[in-house]
Amino acid sequence: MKREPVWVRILDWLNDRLQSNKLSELARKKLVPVHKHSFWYLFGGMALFLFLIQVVTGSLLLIYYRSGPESAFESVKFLVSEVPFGWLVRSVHSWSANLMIAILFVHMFSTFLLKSYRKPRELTWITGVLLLFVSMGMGFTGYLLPWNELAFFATKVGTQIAGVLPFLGDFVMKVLRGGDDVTGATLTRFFGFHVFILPAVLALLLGLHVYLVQLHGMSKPPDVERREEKTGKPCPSVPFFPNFIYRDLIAWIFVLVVLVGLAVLAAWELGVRADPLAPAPAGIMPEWYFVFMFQTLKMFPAHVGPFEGEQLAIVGFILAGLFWMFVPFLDRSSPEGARGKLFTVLGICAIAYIGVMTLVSYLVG
Amino acid sequence: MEKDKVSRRQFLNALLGTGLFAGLLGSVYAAVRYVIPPDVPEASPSMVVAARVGELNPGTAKIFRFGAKPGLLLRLPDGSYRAFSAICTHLDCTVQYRSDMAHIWCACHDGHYDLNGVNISGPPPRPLDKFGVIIKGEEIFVSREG
Amino acid sequence: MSCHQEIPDERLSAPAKGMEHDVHTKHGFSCSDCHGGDRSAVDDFVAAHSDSRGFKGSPDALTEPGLCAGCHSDPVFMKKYNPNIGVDQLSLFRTSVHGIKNSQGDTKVAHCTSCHGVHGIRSSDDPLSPVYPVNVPTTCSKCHSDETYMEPYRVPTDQMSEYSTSVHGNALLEEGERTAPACNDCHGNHGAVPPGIASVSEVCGQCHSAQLALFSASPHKEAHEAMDLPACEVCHGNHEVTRPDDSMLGVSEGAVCAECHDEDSSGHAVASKLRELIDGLREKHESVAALVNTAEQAGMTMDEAAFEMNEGRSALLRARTAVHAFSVEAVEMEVGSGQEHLLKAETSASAALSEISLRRKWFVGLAILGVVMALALIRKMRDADRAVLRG
Repeated sequence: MKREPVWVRILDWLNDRLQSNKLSELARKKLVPVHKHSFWYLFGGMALFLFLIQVVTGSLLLIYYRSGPESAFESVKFLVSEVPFGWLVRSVHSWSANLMIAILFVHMFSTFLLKSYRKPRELTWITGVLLLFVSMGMGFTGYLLPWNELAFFATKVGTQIAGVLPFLGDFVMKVLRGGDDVTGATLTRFFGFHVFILPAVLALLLGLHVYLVQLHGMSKPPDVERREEKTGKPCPSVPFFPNFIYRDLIAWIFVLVVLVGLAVLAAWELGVRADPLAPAPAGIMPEWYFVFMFQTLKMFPAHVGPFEGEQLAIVGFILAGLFWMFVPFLDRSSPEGARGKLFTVLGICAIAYIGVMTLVSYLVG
Repeated sequence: MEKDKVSRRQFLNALLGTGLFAGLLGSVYAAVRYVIPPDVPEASPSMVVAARVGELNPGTAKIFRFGAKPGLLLRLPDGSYRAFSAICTHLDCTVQYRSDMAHIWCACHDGHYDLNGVNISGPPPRPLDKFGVIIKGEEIFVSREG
Repeated sequence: MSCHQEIPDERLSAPAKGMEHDVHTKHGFSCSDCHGGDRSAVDDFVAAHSDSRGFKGSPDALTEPGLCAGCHSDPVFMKKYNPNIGVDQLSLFRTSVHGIKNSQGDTKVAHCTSCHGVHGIRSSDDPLSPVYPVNVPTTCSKCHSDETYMEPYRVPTDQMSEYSTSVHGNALLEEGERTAPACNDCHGNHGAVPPGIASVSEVCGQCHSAQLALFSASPHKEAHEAMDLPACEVCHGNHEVTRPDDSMLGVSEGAVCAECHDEDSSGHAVASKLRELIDGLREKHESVAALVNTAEQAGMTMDEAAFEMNEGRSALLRARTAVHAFSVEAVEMEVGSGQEHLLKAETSASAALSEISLRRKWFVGLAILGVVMALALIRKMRDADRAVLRG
């Protein structure tokens, strides 16, 4: 008998130990339904791809980044001007963060409108919403790290807003800032949050989220289910491997090209070094995904009855966030697959609200 | 027919393999280049090497680059060093040391500063910003926090 | 004083009311120190105002300078109140046009109180004093802008309106820059006279020393003297001196050189050459700045270029000053050094821009690779789907 070449034998050996054929079997057995809404299945994968890019570019940035108000800006400047491909790594990291949040929004609203949060996927939904919150936290903390003027003042305003919170405000603001004001202490703790605490939480949640998706398989939207019932024929589906992987790969290539294109053609600006003593420049704005909340606070009346307007708005946002997270338990009509029209309308209203507020802020401001 | 399909599949696989390989190769190349530290050492945020010990004779001075801005390193006749921002406070011209006057002078509009950087004559409204000087080994460092 | 403040007649009560802010009151002086009379007899009207006790009444314009000088020209006396104050006001005043006419019996010309105020005289460093630097032009113009008042003297009355549009007037009156020259900085104050032709450049050179030094060494100095022309004023004007710009130089429209230098004279050629040099450096600075800005906008760090740009700009300012030597070599030297720095900035900006276009080319390559791979994957996906769905 002819002996197998060495590399085949190594692979066999590894396969024996890792039992990876079971994994690929699993991937082959996993089915992805094919219907008119299948397109939206791609966004979770794209977000995952961008997360991996964040991990890789983030680790690379750590090689040169030096936290601290004296060195942060200069180290980033050195990175983008002197280090080969440093500009690319930083620009990709910044753009990828923003693209990731944008795609998370699309992913979340598409699963919301397709009612994928119905039983038994309640936990998948909750971990997903938490993942979005943690990602926004990553964005908020990461924004400050280059220690430039815009980020410095945006952080000042952002943490100030947290300080308006009733009862807990002062405490939260102090914890976020590491003192009474945004200083080097804030930078140090934001760095800690951004490179360890939040990524650890994110990784745990992400693991759980992906595990749950594998466990329950892809959710079929209510109208697809109804058609199955009506015709008695199951919706056609393809194996995850290799058929759906091809679709994922195409989406990933698309994301990669767009990402590198943005990084090359619209390099992420570094701006000027933050000067805590300088007056705030005009037009301080938070990152775009916080803008709808920022704009709401700006437009909210100063006093509503006995309450302060800002406090009321912040409490409102917290309640809305909690409501959003517990939607699977509140949308009672969904588990049976009936038309939960009310929640569909709610979802569309939420999208419209976020869109209009963001637009108003950019057009007026 | 069947043969056609097989050869097409082989072609596609080869194409994808080559593409993937090229992409990986590029990424690895970029990552390796990135990790190798550049020749230019990282400039300290608020400190720069302005000159080497022995480069300046007593009673002379030199202009050095501090980020995007000029600085003036001065060696006093007694051998000690002083450093200032070389930007004239009148209209941002670069000032110079005049050994014949024994003080700092701006050629644009005849502005004069003494050796403490204080404006003593001409249009400058304010003294020059003062920098700190630290001599470490063979190098003379100038720091923004004077 | 308390009696005077209560007199219903304004003419007699108003002066006393102003006295509380008077610098003399603050140093313990009283009415009788100027007006005579007996200070101790406050309760007795007749005694306090009696001639026998030295009451002098209100001094007139002709006697007043001597009255003030009684103290102000006494160095020993003045030293007690202000060790630094000058005591030469009267002697300077007597050399001024105002003082000469005053001695000749003209009561209309300015004397001490015309500028310093009468009752309620404030120290000249008090911002409310009429002779505080920022207030001087208004004080002088009270008379000098009044056409009927100035008519007998046949002097123009447009100085204030010209001055207020000038670069000096703007700095002093609009921006409150106290070091900017008011009337007295050129004309003198107590010894006010129009500066003579010979002294104009000395007057301007008090501040514009670099330009004066260059001018004095230039051929213009002798030429102006020979033709009895003032120095700076011929090109820059006097009261209405505006911020000069490059269009003043040369022989084109709006330039001043051609007003004297005929078309085929050497001065004409030098003037147009100087303008060409300055324009060349300025335009180079603008174009390189635009290039550096483009590179900066594209995300490149341009510290070194910014440093060189700054040197180039310095050279342009030096060249503009060097124009006052009216020598091609002097300006060429500054322009040359400026061009050198700008060239360095341009080189580094171009390098940055070509780096950017290289990056773009690589991106196009990546995009093509991406499209090809995506197309191949679509093909493979179709094949795989067909195999599954057919079954």
